[in-house]
Amino acid sequence: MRIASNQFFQLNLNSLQAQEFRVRTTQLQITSGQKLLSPADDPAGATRILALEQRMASLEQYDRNNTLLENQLQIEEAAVQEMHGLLDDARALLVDVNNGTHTEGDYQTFGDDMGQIRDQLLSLGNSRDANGEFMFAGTATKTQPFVFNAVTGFQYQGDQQSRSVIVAAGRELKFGDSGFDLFVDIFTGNQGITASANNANTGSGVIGAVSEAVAGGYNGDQFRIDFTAPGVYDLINVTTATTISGGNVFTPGDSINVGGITATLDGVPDAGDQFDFDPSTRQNLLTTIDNLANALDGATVADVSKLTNQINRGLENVDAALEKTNGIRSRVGNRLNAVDTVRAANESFKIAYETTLSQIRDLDFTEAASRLTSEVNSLEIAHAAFARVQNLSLFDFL
Amino acid sequence: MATGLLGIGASALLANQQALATVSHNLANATVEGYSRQTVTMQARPSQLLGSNFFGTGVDVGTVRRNVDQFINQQIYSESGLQSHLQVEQKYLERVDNLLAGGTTGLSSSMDDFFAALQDLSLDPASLPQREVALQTADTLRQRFQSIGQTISDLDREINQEITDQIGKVNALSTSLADLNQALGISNARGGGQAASDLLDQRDRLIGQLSNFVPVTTADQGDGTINVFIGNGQALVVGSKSFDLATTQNSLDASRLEITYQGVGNVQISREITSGSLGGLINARSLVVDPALNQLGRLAVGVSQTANAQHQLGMDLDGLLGGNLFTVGSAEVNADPANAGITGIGVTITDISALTGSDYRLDVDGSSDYILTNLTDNSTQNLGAVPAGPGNVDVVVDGMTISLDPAAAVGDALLIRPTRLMAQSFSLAISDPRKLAAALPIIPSSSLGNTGSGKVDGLQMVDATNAAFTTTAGALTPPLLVRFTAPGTYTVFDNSVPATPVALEAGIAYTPGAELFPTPGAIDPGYRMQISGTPGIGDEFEVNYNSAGIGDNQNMQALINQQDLALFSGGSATYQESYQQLVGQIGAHTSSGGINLEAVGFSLSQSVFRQQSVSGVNLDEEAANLLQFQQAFQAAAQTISTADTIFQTLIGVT
Repeated sequence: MRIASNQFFQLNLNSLQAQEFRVRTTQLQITSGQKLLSPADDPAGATRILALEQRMASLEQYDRNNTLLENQLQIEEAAVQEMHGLLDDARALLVDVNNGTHTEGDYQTFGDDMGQIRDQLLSLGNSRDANGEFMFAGTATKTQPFVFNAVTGFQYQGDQQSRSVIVAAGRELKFGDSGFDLFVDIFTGNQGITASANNANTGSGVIGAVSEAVAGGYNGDQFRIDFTAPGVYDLINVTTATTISGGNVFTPGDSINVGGITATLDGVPDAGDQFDFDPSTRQNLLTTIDNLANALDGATVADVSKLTNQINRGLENVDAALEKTNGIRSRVGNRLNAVDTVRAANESFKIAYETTLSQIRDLDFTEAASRLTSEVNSLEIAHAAFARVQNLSLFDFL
Repeated sequence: MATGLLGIGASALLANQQALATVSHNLANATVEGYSRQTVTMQARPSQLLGSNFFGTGVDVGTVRRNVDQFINQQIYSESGLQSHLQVEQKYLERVDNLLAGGTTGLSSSMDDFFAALQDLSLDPASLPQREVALQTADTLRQRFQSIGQTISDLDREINQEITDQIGKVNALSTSLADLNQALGISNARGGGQAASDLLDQRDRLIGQLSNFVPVTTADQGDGTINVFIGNGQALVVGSKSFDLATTQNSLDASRLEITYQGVGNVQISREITSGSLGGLINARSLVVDPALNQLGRLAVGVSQTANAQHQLGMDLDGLLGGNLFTVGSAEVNADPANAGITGIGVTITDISALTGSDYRLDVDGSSDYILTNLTDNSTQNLGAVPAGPGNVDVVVDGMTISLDPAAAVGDALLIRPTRLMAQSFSLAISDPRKLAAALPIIPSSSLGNTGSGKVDGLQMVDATNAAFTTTAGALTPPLLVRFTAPGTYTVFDNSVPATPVALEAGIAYTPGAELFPTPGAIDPGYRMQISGTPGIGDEFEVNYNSAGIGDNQNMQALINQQDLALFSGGSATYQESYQQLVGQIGAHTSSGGINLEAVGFSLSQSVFRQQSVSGVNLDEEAANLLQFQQAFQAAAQTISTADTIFQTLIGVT
């Protein structure tokens, strides 16, 4: 086959250029550490890189969210812990009051101590986070959640919402609990029953433990014990305005059963004394503690049974609050656990994505270095061969 | 005899001299592009009858042959035309691919940043600095949309410019070819039916150059001239006359130049230019510019509409309902200036998931029907007859609502580009960070006196244009109260005056976890909520305006969650996936274009190699020829000398 001399040079030149291009590409890959120098090098890979980078960005965001959430939960945990401690103090104080004889001065001191607990709870409820927003106002973060008003008493002004945070794809966790959950959503009494002694009672009747006779046996109606004479009482269903039984004989320490409720009644009630059983309602913890502080403040040695009735009810309420804080504490703990689990899962996703990303995008330096060596070698050989071949001409021999 | 000998010697001297001259010519032109090797063919002179024998009389130069293979040349024309075509396409594909898929230039990272900022904001929705950051990333997203849109639509202008430039070059080439034809005709006549080789080389070179721009066919006229045709047989060069190409604006899109042939009438021939760099330029529009702009625009209008819809359901820092977050322009509609009836038509985008990203042509056909042609796949749909009027008739098709105008006349044509301008016109609708609507405008609460375990769940806004929200800005009209009047039955109250709620609908049966609204009596306040658990008798649940709830992030969460919703392509692609589809599509074209280009380059170099092996000059071969003809010349000179010796001998003898 004829080869045109021009073509001979052109072919050599083309092959040299192609080899030089390969060397340059490998060199660029090595200096940048990237397999793909432009998306056009591997369009399918470039699209996958975009998708993976988006997922990585989401994961990093989830990480940030998790960290913030963890912080917030730890702060809440500390707050709930403190609240629990205060409630324990309140309970111990109430038990102290019930056990033993005290002077009116003692009651004053107990009342002051209880007032301290109330004030500390108030300041806890109104605590702010790092951004100066109220932590326990639900989503009304710029509204002071707990205020005292001489007419209406303690009021919760926040809302019942709490915001949630996305911690993983399709997974949201509550950022915190509202003041409503912590302080307000606490039922009075025991097992849905709130007992109370009429304020106008003159006898020394004291209601002790109150509970349902059979679990779930209380139907939610209001009941009353009416003493018609010392040691004689009627049982009345207030809701239906019917007398259940009249002229019952009372011995102090009797257990009285009415409408599914079992209550112990002690002391000596006077004729006309009344004891009520109402369905439980929510009561602000601050109101509960405030009521106790006031009761202690105004307690007289002469009317210990009135105080005892209030303390007994107060104990029920404080126990309900303790139960509530325990519930919230374990809820916060669960969320903290969930944060850890989710974080670990996110981390392993991240590692998987990073590995895939690196496989698509990153250069294998060992492979690239050996490729460069062989490319440079073959370029050198091509140069040498060209130099040898290009001066072969018949004219040299003429 | 002796004169015979001298004559033979002289003819050989002459012939070999000419052969040597041709060898020198070959050597001189060895490196000239398009030069075809010439060879001298010699032939014996007719012999003379002397006695009963024929005796030779010497040698003549027959022809100076030009070594070419027209078939290979034709193949090179078509292959190099294809190569230029692919090169142009590849140039635009790579630019757009690098733009879209590049980490710093693409849309992907700014979309990620935007949603990350929304997440940060949702962690602290009342924070003004976070709101500022969110708004800034939204603005970066806007810039990115606009700049990518602008860069790609600039390519359209660049293509126009290139078309104009290249048409100038094509016209210059056809003029030169016409001139050459004239010279060839003359040289052919003088050369006794054989035109000058070097003129032919020049002509072939010009045709080669021409076929780099446009696909051409040639017809040899047998008189040394050649006619050149383009497209559907439009003559570019006939004899010594050439015809120009020109550009005109597309009748439906003034921003696009089309190629016209100016020979007989003004024929638009853009469609027929399927090869060469001009063909590549025409093709780059539909291969690169249109899909990139349209799909980017589809994403822009999709982000805008879906984010706005969610944002409008929220409440801002001032306790007012959210407005639009983004704005985009409207669909591009161009009318043919020749339309007799309508000069435009109303097109609005109403369904993102059905939107295709195609361009459409709307024609009124002979039977006065509106015919919509999808320009991507050329499928047509009959939208129905031109309405009788008065009043337009709305037709929903491919996610657009087209408002058919009764004024349309038969033959009217319109170009509809639903999403083309959206990326460039993507803007922010708010500049005040307080206006970001992070919260839900409503808030439920359960009454303190409740005895049961009922609680409100699944609160969700569905319609902020409900009278409940629009009657008084920043308030709920009316706030509602749900009271359980008996186990499993509740009444809905108007709670405008909480002391005296007014019953709206009573005796509604309670199903735990079921949607409360719309109620059996069709009360629909524009939001949805559920009550779960066992509410006690007399238990109450209120829904109020969330005036104080600036720390609420529920609407922001909903906005963030939209990035995981498959909102595009009939519910199969998210924002990011929709963008990745575009990048993937352009990338696939780029990659296959690269492979095709490499293949064409390889087969072209093979053809050039074959062509050169026929027509190229080999210096060694010429050196050998040089020696051969030189020796033949020396031998002929020796014949003359021998003839002289014979002559002297004869004279000496006499």
